[in-house]
Amino acid sequence: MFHSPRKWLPLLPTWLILGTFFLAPLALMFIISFARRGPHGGIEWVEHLRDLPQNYKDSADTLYLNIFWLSVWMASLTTLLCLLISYPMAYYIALIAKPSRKNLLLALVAVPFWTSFLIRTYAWVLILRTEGLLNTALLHLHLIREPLQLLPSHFAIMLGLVYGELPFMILPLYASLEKLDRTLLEASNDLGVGGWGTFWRVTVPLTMPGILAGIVLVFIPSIGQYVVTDVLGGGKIMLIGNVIEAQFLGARNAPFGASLAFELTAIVLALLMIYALYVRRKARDINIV
Amino acid sequence: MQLDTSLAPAIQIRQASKRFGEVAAVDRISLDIHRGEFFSLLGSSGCGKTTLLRMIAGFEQPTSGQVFLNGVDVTGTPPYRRPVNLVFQHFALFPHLTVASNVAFGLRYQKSPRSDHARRVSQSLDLVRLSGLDQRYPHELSGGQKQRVALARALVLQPQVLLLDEPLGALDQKLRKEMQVELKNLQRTLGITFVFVTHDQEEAMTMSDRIAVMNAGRVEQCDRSSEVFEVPRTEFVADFMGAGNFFSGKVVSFDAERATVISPAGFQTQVPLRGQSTSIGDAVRFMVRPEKLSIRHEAAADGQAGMDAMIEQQIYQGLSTTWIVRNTAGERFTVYEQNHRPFNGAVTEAGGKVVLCWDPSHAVLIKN
Repeated sequence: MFHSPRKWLPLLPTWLILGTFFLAPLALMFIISFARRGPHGGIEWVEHLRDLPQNYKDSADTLYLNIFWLSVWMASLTTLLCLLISYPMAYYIALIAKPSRKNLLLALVAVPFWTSFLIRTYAWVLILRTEGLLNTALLHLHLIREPLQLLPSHFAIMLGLVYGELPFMILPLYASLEKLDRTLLEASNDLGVGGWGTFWRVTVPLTMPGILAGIVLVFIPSIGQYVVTDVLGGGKIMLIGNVIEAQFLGARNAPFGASLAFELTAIVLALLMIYALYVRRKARDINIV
Repeated sequence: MQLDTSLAPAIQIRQASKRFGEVAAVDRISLDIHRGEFFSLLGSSGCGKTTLLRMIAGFEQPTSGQVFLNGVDVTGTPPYRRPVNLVFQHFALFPHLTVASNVAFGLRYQKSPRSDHARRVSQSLDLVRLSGLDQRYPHELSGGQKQRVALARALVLQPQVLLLDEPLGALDQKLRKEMQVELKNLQRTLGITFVFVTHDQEEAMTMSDRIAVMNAGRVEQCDRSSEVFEVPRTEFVADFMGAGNFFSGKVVSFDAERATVISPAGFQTQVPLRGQSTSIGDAVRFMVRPEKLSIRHEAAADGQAGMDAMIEQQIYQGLSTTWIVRNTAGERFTVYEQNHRPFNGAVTEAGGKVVLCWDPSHAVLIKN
C-alpha cells in the first residue's frame, strides 16, 4: 500500500489528526482505566495483576447500574420521540411540500445549528423556570393557579434532549424519503392497498436505512451527553455522562471515570455492531442501501 | 371477437377534462371502451394519453366530467377501491420484496381465503411464463422478466380492466415485438378489457381492436385499428398513423357517394365521401397512402386517377423501393412499390416524366 502516494497521501492528514487527538488519548484512557486513584487525586499503578479489573468490578455496583439503565432508557425514549416527531416532518418536506419550499424548510431545520448548543439549552431554562415564559403564559391564561415546578426534572431533560437531537433525525429521514420512488406508492394504491397499508408495507421498509441512520445519530450523543442533564437537571439528576464528568473533575478519580467511559463505549459499540449487521444483511438482500 | 354490448361498457368517460393551470392535459373527452376489448390510447408525448389513463386508474381527479366503470360512477373513488389495475411504465416493482411477495402484495387485502393465495400467485406467474423465479428480487431480473412480474402482480387480482402505461417502452426492439404478441394472446385468453397507452402507431395497430388517436388533450379519432389507418378523419391522424400524400383541390360536383375534385395542378379526380358532407366550391384536401400510389410511364388506366409528375429520387430498400416524385405545382409525393421483380436498376432516371396513379376509392377526404 506504500507504493503509490495516490493511495495513502489523501488519508494522511486524517490519520495524523485522528491518531494524535483521538486514538492516542483513547489508548491512554484505556490504560488509565486499569490504574487507581492516588491519595491526592493522582494516578497510581496497581501492584498486583488481580487488582487490574478493580475499577470495572466497582462499577458493577447497583448505583452505577441504575444510572446506566436510566441513561439507556432516557436515550431510547429520546430516540423514539425524535423518530415519532421527525418522520411526519421529513415526510412532509420530502413528499408533500412544494419543491420550491423544500430548501426553505430544510434551512429552517438547520437554523438551530447557528447558535451554540449550550446557549440553546439555557434558553429552555428561561422558558421552563418558575417565573419563566411557560409558567407566566399558563398563569395568565388561568390554566394553572400555581407555577409548575418544571426545573429540575426528567421531563425537562427529555425536552432538552429531544429538542437538541431533532435535526439529526429529520435530515437522514428526509434523505431517504426524498429518494423514495413515488410510483411505488401509487403501485401499492393501485393494488388495493390504502394509505396506512402502503405506509407500513412500502414507505417504512424502503426508508429503513434513513430510520436506522437517524437512530444511531440520535441515540449515541443522547446516551453520553451531560450538558442537558447539568443545565435542565440542575445537578440533581445524574446520567452516566454526568457521573463520568464528576469522577474526572469532582472526585478526581480519573481511573474510575475512564472505566465507566469504556463501559459506555462498549454499550454503544455493541449497538452499532447490531446496526451494521442489520444493514449489511439488508444490503445483500436488497439493492436499496 | 364477439363483444358483449348488452351490459354497460367497461369504461365510459364523459366530458372529462384535466387542467393544470391554463393547460388542459385532457380536454372534454368522451369515450366508451367495451368489455373484453383491447383498446389503445395513441399519441405523441404530452397529448394527454397518460393523464387519461391515470384518470381511469384514479390517480388523477378530472377537473370536470365523469368516469364510469361498468356503469358505476367512480369519479371520486380512490385508486385502491377501483376494480382496475395498472401496469406501470417502469414496472414499479417493490425492490424490498421477492417476486412472489410482489405478486401477492394486493391479495392480502382481497376477500379471498389466505390458503388460496399461494395457489393464485403461482397460477399468475405461470400465466406470464415466469415460474421458478418466485424467490428472486426485482434487481436480479431482466427487463422482460420485470415486465412479466408487473403483469402477474396486476392480473392476480383479477381486475375487470387492465391498464397498461407504455409497458413495453423500456424493452429492446426484439423483446418488444414478442411481448406485443404475447400481450394480445393473454388478453384474448383472459377476455379482460385492456387499455393500452403507447406512442407507437405500429404497436397500437398490432395489438388493438380499437384505437383512440389523441392530440393536444382531445381524441382526434376513435375507430377500429384498420379504419384509423385506412380512413383517417383528420390530417393529424393521417400523418401520425404513417406517411401520407396530401392533395388539395376544389369540389366541382358531388353525389351521395363521392365528390369530384379539381386540383390546382390541373387534374380531376373523384374522392369517396364516406358519409361526410360537402358543397360545390369547397376547398378540400385528400390523402392517399404511399403504398396505394403507383408510377407509370403512360397515361392512367381506365377508372384510375392520374397526375403528371417527375421523378426526384429513388431509394432502394430491399423489400420495396421508395420513390419521391414532384408534380408541376412543386408538391412532393412519396410512393412505395414492392420489389416483385428482380430490380433492374434502370426503371426510371431522376428527372424522368411519369404519371402518378391511384385507385380513387383509396383516396380519403380529410377534414380541414
